[in-house]
Amino acid sequence: MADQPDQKSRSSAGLLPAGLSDLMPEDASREAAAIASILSSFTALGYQRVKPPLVEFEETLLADGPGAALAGNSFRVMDPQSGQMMAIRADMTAQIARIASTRLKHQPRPLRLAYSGDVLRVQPDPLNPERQLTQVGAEMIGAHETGHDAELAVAALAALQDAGVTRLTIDLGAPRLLDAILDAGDDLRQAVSAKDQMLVKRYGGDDAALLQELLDMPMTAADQIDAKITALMGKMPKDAASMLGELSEMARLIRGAMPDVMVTIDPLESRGFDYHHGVGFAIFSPGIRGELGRGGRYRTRLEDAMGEDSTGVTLYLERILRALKPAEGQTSLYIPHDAGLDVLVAMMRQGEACRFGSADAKDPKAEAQALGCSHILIDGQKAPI
Amino acid sequence: MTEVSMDDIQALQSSENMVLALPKGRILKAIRPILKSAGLEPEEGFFDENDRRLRFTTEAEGVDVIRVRSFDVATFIAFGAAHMGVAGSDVLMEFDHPEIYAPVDLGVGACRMVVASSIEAAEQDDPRSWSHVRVATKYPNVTKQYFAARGVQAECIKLNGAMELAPGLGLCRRIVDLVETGSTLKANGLVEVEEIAQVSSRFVVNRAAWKTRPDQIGGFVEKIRDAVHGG
Repeated sequence: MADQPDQKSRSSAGLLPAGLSDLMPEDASREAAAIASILSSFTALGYQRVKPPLVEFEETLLADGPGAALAGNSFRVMDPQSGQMMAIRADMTAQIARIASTRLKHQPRPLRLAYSGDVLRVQPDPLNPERQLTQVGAEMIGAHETGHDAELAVAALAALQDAGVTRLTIDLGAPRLLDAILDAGDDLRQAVSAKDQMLVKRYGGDDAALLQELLDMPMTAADQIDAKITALMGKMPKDAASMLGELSEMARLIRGAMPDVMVTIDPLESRGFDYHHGVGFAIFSPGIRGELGRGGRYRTRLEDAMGEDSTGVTLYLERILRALKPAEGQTSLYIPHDAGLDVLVAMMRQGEACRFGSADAKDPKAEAQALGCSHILIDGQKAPI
Repeated sequence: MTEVSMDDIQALQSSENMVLALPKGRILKAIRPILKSAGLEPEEGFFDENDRRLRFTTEAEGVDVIRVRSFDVATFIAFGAAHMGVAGSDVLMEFDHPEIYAPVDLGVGACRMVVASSIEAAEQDDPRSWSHVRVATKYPNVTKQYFAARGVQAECIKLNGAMELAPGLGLCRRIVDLVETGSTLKANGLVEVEEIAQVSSRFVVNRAAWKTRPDQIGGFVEKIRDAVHGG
């Protein structure tokens, strides 16, 4: 009984569960504008919109490929109708892959798809408290060339720029490169992940020097990177060398298309890549913690022959909003109640952002000011306040 | 689209001050020569304990320095509030955060993280029969993982200091703590049972800073390495 008053005061104050929040008017409209802008860039670049549902049967959502990576971080609910367990999506890539391999199976490859939507996670990531995240993404299903990876990365960068994120860095890595070089134990894996020079030396055996050179790649001057990569490729097993070659080719393609984006190569980077193989990339903006988005090559299904090589990118709206400048002071027009609903609609159709006055407003001008309007309609004429 | 060179981008991204986070306490003295030869020496007031400021300048242009508790270094770095710092590998193990890189072992602050227990307990105890232990420690995550790996559930009592008191006062029979020479353990009637890890101080870097300012951060990493290996 002791918790009753507590519960009551919590509900009257509107307490939400951890990691969930309300967006207030300014942020909500900035978010909607950013989503619209990014999606319209993706659409204009040939990615068709699809919209999967919020909840799916657990076995279709989490079975294999990108879905399996988040199985432990997904909420489950029981579907009373079918008696089956359903999972609330924790990421949308698996859903897009499912659509591509079933209902759009007959479409020519590569198949370019775009989406946006909210996802729900049991645990937030270590940097941000949010458990409900808004994702916007693009996927290219049936993509197997470095050119495809580059095309997709460029699409994401261009979309971010057009949404207003001006300072971008893209970091390229090959999450499976370490495995292609040697059969690494957990100690070495951790050492490489932390870029810990001493531990790499201790656990790296004969490959320690090579691994350290790869780890030092981001510190290499831009004009020497190509030479360095060529030299390193000679010292590596064939698979590993071809991964490194892909990174260098992808960097060249992105630099050619996006001269104002900084491209870095950190070949052994694997942090945050759960299901990717081949190249992976993460997009950063200086001063924003964590990445704005990440993507790379993956296989839609690992365990059966239906799987297709694909490449995709997911952009994280919560972080993108932090990288955007606050909206400039926008104009809005106060329409006195007496002017009538027909005038309100007419002004809206002329492209004005309108605020309609209340019937009992004694002083329309005062109400316009209280609403923060920049203009007021007087006798059919727009006048500044 | 306007032509912008890589240099312009780097210059723009480098225009904001960077923050170096250093731990309070005895480690400072040991790392001072390394910072000095890497061109990152803090201004004099930083080392003056009576100076009440928390943020200071360094000899490197555009690099400020803060002094915080050692666990807080990891927090500042993880969240990108500081770009570079010095943290013990004990703190990094406990924090285990994907946003922190630890590229250089500074070779200072060497000690060991160990399990210790009272002398009587150590004599009677058979570790093979454990299913549950109660441990006083500053490192609950490391402790839980360490014991879990051998199938033992560790109930951790989080203490921030004077761990050695806990067994004698009946709080628990074991502690996980750092030891340098072992004299504090001995003075409190404890013995080392097992070693969990060798500990030393690392130069650490925030992940996003490493990606967005590779030239600057890389330059400092290289200088720190040279300073450690040269000295």
